[in-house]
Amino acid sequence: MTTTTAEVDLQDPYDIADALLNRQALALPGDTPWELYRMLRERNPVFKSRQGMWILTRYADALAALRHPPMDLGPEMRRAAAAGHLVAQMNAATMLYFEDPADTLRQRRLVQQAFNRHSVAALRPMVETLVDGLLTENLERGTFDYLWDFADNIPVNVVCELLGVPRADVPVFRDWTRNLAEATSAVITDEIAQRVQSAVQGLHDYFVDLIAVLRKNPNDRLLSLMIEARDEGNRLSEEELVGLSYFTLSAGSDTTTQLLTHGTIALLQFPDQLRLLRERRDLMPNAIEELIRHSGPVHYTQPRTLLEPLRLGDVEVPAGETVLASVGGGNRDPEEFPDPDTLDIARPRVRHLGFSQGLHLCIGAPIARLEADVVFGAMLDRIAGLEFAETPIEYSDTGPMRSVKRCLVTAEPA
Amino acid sequence: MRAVVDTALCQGHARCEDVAPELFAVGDEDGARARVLQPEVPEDLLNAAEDAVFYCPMGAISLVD
Repeated sequence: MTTTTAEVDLQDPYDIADALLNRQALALPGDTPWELYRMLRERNPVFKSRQGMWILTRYADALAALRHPPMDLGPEMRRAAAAGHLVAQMNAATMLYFEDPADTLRQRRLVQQAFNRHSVAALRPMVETLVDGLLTENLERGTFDYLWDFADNIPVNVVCELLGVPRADVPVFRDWTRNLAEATSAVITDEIAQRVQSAVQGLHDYFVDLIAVLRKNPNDRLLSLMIEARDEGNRLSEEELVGLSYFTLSAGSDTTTQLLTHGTIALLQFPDQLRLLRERRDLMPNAIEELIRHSGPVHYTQPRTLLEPLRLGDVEVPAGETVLASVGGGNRDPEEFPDPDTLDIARPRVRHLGFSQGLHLCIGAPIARLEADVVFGAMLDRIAGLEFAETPIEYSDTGPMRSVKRCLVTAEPA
Repeated sequence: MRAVVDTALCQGHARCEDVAPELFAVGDEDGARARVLQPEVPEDLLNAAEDAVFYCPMGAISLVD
């Protein structure tokens, strides 16, 4: 098919690649981004764009790239940090994401206790109470914005609970995270830049203060655990503590909000699957994986610079080149997932790339799964009928995540 | 099928425990490594065992005949 936008005719692989890299593609309607991935995958699966970035749209290639250990995620980020950008400085201190394998491992091991099975299970009652209250409030309205009135309130509360941010401070955190989400827009106006900068500064200063308070009065939450880990063995610096807190918030809030929203949209678009889930609640864990595969919000991962050559089928990508694993492309590769555009909650072996893979596999994945389980479960219990109150759904040009702009629904209580 | 953890590769990320708690356990202590709880993988846990292989960030788990 020919997909046209105002500027480009998306038949040429170079134009498709440009549209993906400048985030324009993510704002296109409906299934269009996945159609673009399909066009690349069928004709140019290992494709070098005009900017020199290699785009990998086959599942096997994206997986191989994500598991390829000798990679550097951060040269651009480190340059920005050196230039004095606060977001970049906080991110650069957060080696879970950007730095070399040894530092990634060191930080992961310090924080992972907060993400293990038992810690995550302990969050469940809090999430259930939160979701129940939000559903009650929205069901009274009948018609509400699933994204901004409902889903957006959940992850920020969970992350604050996880970190040990006092409940009273959650509303200001929610405003900061909303403003931060704009930082990945394709076009940054002066107004957006100001809001983002002010949110970043606010978060930075807040965490510095909270760390000082927790140092005197520790609790059993993540930030306190990280401080103690640091203070016992001098292992996490002040910058790392602020960076990790910031990273936990930015990685855990908007992503999960969008995951819940995209997942609900997919269930409304495949009513037979929603009916099946209602009848077969035991399918829930598999349904969550399938929803992430089919329409998870993250469409590609951070570009990685190869430190060693990477062989992908017939092509060897040389060391020094930068590769972009298309999560959206891999997750709809028919070689791995037959009939990939169909949502099939009973699909066997849904080993998607939605949480990335390898060393940088999302450490918060168990928490995202918990939130999805509680939310979709509560919706089945408490909502008899759910419909879109406004279509088509519009998407914004943030990246690497595809973001729903709003999602008006009408819900009939059970 | 038998589940095997290469303890030289394992870094204790505990992703295996998340997806297959019947088969793997990782302690909270510093330097903890994954332990195999049932070396012989029962038929009904084969899919979970394959999930553990897939999600291990270090590629430390294998299933052998």
